[in-house]
Amino acid sequence: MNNIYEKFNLLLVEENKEEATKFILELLQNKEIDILELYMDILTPSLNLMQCMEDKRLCIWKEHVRTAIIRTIVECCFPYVLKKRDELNYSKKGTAIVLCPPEEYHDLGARMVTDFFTISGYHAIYVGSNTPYSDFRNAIDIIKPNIVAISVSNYYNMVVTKKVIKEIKEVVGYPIKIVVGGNAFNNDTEKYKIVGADYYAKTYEDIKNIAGDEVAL
Amino acid sequence: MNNILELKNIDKIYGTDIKTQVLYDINLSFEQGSFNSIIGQSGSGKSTLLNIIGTLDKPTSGEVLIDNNNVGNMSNNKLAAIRNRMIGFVFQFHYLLPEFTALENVLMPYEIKGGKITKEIVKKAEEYLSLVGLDNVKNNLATKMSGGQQQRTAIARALINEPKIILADEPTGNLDSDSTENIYELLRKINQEIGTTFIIITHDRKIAEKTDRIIEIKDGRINLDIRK
Repeated sequence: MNNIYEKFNLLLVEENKEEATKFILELLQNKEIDILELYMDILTPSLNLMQCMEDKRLCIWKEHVRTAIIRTIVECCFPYVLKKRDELNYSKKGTAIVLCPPEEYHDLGARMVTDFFTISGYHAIYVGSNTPYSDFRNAIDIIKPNIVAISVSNYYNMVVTKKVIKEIKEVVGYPIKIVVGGNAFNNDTEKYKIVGADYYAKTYEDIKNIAGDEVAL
Repeated sequence: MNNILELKNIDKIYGTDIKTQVLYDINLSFEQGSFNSIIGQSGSGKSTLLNIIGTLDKPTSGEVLIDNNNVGNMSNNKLAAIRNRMIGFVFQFHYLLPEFTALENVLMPYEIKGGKITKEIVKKAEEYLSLVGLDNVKNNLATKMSGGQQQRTAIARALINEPKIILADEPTGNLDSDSTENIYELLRKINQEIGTTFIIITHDRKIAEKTDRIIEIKDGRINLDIRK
């Protein structure tokens, strides 16, 4: 796995989108890597452990280019996500919607977590970044999800996240569960309680455990 | 880190016949050298809180401890002395005196404290003006400077008595986005180089999201207290 990570990272440093995508898809096709391993051991650290070694003025540029390459790969992986779901064949669960609060633009983690929900047996809906507050509430009224997963990177957005969670819990007349994750929570896994969420999730195992809990309820 | 400031069970009620409570049982402590923001909607009680922290107003009940000194029992003179020594203020509007130069405005709190204007203190004032990037306009009248320069002068003025705490009430509320970024960089630089504790009231998310701790006040209570 280390070899794969190192080779993939070299391609990312070169910003070679074509070769990076080919490299990962061939690994999946040849069953040299599992989709969950790919997400957890290759893509997640490639996003989180990026170091800006060169011109500091280009750090955000480079982070965005890297994110765009990994986003392309994630979107290309969807057939493998479905294959994994069918292979594991977990019992059908309800609907999970995955989104970012208003003004939160870092959404690739949320996109990847959506696939974890799919694999765990949910009908998972990825909404994306910067979801307007009113749409948030209206969608819940219409879709009536079992789980709302909110991804927060910028810790300032915990303010609006707390507000949204409070309102969802007051308005919704059924036992909806709120999951939070993202960089804003990573340095203290108990922070989810501050915003009124039910769970904190960082890994596929966390999502799987939440799915288990939901079935048990 | 030691706490430079503690608020214990602070209530604030305005009025006698018709009472309006604006703060409810506020408990907060601030570590020395920390960089904090207080956010909240208009009318949430955040400015009242800042006035109490700055000893400009007194709580109806509860205790304010600055550097372990309970300021509740102090005489007005003693309170003014501790305020002048321990706290620097930066407001949305700079309140510079228009008939004085930037340098003279910076020296003003020192003179009010009763300090004699020596070469050393002038040199220190010049150093603070240099720190805020105003070497070239230090002898300009306050009225002959841009809004950003005036606010930077106000920050240098807040530093002259070497306070341990700077209270800033909407320090970028009157500035464009470029000047806002410059003022943030400046406040952070002072925090890192001098170790001054900052408590910044702001509506500006670009400022709040860069502080190390965000306290949200809602309806007179602490709704959220999060650290980066």
